[in-house]
Amino acid sequence: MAQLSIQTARFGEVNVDEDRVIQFVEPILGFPDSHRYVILDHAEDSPFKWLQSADEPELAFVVTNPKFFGIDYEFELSDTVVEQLGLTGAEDALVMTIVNIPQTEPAKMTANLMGPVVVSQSQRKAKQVVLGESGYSTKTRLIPDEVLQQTAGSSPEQGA
Amino acid sequence: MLVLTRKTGQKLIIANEIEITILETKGEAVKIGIQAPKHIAVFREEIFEEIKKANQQAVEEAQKNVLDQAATEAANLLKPSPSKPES
Repeated sequence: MAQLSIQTARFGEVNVDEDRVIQFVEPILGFPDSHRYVILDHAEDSPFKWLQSADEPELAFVVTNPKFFGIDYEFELSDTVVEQLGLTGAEDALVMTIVNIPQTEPAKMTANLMGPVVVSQSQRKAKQVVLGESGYSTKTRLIPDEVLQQTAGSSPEQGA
Repeated sequence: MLVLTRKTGQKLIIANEIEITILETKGEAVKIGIQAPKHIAVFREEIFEEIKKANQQAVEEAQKNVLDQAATEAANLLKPSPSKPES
């Protein structure tokens, strides 16, 4: 298997098998110059992964599946997306949502459920799907305030 | 950019398959009806802008040490070590 050497800002030079490279059929919104990405592990047992651009060293997203956080998350893909990605079935689709972790308060991390990244595992093709009228938000808290408060104890939060 | 003037109730046809109808105008608001084949995605521009903004913000905040903290928080709060047997 041929290997691809990727320059990254966070992890130095990373070598991956070429068949692990994911080709975006449309770039992630706001990042038109990156079409190839790889998924890198974060840590053992971590619910997170890195979606690292193979075209721009400094471009990397933290991603997760909201299901790891007990969030119900289901949506239907249009025939166009199924065709674009060459999806062979629901089990072929790898779903990731982009996570925003505030540096000052990491526990208040949110995931973008309105724009999931869907990868066809058979074709290694991907796309950020726009679920415009789905009711999903771009900023869904992965750990709700109630859960944070239960465990925080001594530091009550403001608000409802 | 092609600029056309239409009256309420009038339509535009794009590429023989997309039909746009001006339904109503009220002050600054224009109500538009769009009939298009299922494979044509139609969204308000704001939706794209919102996702773009969320993406850009996520990248700015994506730091290794912050992710480590977040993962620790997640592990503590959500999964009290399910893989290890209780002693």
